[in-house]
Amino acid sequence: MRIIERVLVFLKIDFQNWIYTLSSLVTICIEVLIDNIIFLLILLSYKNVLSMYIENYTNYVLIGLLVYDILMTIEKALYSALQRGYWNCIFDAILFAPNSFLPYVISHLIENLLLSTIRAIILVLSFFLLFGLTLKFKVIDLVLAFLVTILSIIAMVGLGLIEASTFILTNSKRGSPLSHLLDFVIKILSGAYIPLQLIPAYIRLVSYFLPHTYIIELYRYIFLGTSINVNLFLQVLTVQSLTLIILGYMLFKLALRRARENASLLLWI
Amino acid sequence: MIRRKVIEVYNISKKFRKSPKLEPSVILGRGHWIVALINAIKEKNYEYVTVLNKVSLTAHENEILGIVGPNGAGKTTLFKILSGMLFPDEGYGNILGLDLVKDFQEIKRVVNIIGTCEWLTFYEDLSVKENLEFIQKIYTFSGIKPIRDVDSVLEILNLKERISEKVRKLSSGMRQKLALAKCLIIYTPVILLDEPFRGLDILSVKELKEIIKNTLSKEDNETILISSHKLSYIEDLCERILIMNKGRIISSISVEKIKEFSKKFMVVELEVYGIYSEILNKLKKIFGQSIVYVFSFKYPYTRIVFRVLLARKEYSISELLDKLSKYNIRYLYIEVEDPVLEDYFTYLIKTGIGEEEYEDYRESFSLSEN
Repeated sequence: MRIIERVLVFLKIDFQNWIYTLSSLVTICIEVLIDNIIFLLILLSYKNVLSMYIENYTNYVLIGLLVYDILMTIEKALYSALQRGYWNCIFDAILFAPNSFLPYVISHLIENLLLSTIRAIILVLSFFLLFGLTLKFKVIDLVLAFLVTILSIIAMVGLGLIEASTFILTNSKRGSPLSHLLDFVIKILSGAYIPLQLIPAYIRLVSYFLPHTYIIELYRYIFLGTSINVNLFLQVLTVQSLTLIILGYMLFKLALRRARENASLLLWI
Repeated sequence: MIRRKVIEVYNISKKFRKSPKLEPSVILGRGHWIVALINAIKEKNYEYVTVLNKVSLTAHENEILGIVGPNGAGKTTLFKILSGMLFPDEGYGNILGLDLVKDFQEIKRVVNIIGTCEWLTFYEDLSVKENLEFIQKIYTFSGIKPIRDVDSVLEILNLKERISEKVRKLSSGMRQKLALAKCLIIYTPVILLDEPFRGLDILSVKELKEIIKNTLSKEDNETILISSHKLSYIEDLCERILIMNKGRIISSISVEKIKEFSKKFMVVELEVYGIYSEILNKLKKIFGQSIVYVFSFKYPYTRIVFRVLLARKEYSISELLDKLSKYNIRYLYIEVEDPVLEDYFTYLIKTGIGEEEYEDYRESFSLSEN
């Protein structure tokens, strides 16, 4: 109960500080616009080819984009919490007392999930208004949906821990504009916009190393009934999730020790 | 009356690793970031900088202890270690019996720290009241009960009329004052104030000094460590002053020692036009053996200020003026005065006498350890 109380305090102060929320909403609108433009360009360029692979391309892309967005929200939560906490001196403000920064990170994750939900609503609305979307979803297998959700969270938390460790271990505190480009490349390679079969074979090799690819395909199977080898996809995802979470845990533990030794989470104090 | 020791620190040292340089290609190119990460884990290819070198100190109950030193002397690092934010590499110490490393979380309950740019930790778009309420909640989470409410804290700080104002609209002096609120809200036996007077005007400095002396020290009975790079800010506030340079405490002085120093030496300050080396030679001829050191700083257009520390000898102004005109030195102003703490500090650094005093100082600690 105490942790919930603390999380609520951080959430409240962040929403009181509405400029951050407002700038996030503006960013969301721009991102949704870019998604729509890319979708339109692909649709206009490959309409005939796409119809050979996919029955309903609008639903196909919508699932891909929604899943990808939630995955990235979970993956980036810790790194962006560290980055914001460091540069906005929030850690300087909370770590002078015997506090853990966990409630702050959780509040940051909740805030980002809320923004992600808003983004999803705007995306669905834009697809509905611009491309005449008709939702044709049905959950094929509830148990599978639950299992994939758990594995997705484990994989993304693992990746998030690795990413957050670099904040301290390699001192990459400012992030990199190139990371946005990398996110976009992952979005394409994980098949959020187009089926994997349309990606050239040698580039597709990269897709097979990304957990995002398996997660998106599994959710498409669950909601749209696309044809994939469910067992193989689940097995690969399980191995990836466990590897990532173990590696992430070890690296982040090391990073936290370094941060405590060198006070590298504090900017001014 | 013997006062209880609140802070005891012996021979603590701290080295910092220089940050690795990350080129864009390292972040996203040919897998170089993997190499950077492996190097970071293995601690390869790093250079180290010694920030604290065997520092020992003690502070007593209800004492105001000053720590003075130039930028980069290690004052902030020392404060970070004393507040449980950073671990020392060597040495040991305790605050009220709590070990600096083992009990670092508990230490945060007895030590409060106000950083150099503490006001940056405020949410700029929130009001003064909202910010202080947030600080109160942060303490309450840790089980520390506030001793004052927001209104009475603002009354002490003379900021009550600004209660609903956004922090971004406050002047830097007001923000600095607001930073002190952290100490007024709760009680901790030890307070560390890191450069609290930085960038403030004389009136604001005076106001802050009053709060530190009357409220924090007298009323709340707290032990205060206060750092500054300017001695004049804290000389009338502290009972004892430690002088730090290059990560070491080079001297511990009391107000009496400064008075003794003033008796031995005197200062002549003059601003002149001319070529530096020429004037320096002339000054050496005028004052001869009595020169201890000459401190100078240059302005554009060959304007130079010389501050000359001399072994005390009664020079009358007219006598000095005669000598200056004899050597054809054209001055803009001249002042003969008693040395201040600043001069003592420069004296220690310039003459290297601090090195010997440092050894005496360390010896006194090894005796007390035994």
